[in-house]
Amino acid sequence: MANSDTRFIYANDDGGICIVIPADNTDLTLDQIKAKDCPSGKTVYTVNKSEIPTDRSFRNAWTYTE
Amino acid sequence: MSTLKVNTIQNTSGGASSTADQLSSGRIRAWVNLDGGGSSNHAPQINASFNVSSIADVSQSTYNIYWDTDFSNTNYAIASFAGFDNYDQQNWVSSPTSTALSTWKQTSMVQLHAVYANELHNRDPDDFSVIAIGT
Repeated sequence: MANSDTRFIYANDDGGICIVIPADNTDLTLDQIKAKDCPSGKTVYTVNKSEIPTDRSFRNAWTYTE
Repeated sequence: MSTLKVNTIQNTSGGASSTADQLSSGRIRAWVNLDGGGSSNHAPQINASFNVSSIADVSQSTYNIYWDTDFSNTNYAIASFAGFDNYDQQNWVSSPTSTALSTWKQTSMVQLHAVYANELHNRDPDDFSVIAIGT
């Protein structure tokens, strides 16, 4: 599975969510990317990219619950 | 892995000299091209990249670019572009609003915002590129 098939999700300080899209052209593993590019003090959810909505009409109002 | 150590590189005529330091400081350290999905209304995706570990979809048309190998300081230069696919608006790239420089530009990442002509109704760019040069 390519890195880019995975997304990391965490809550922004402004109440929205940040969705991290791992790059494929890197030697880093998903765990290394998660540790390096996601904040350590927040809960980070790992999901498949297919779970991310494609309709971005209200992107800034998105929240995430498991 | 072998390492080639030289002071100067020239062309076969003895011209176009570059030192190893010049090559190191002048080459592109990282770049990324992504599709924000504006016209086709899909989730952002990385089209191609170099020395980038990930991007973050922070909000509509705002992206964090995380460097695979970090810069040694924040004095690196950035060039960026954002554009639409046949849409009747222009677009340009800026730092995020009301955000400290030390927050949006760090040795490990940069946060950039593709600014739509009408800030009340932004739109994800269809083509967004970032190039970074520095040490």
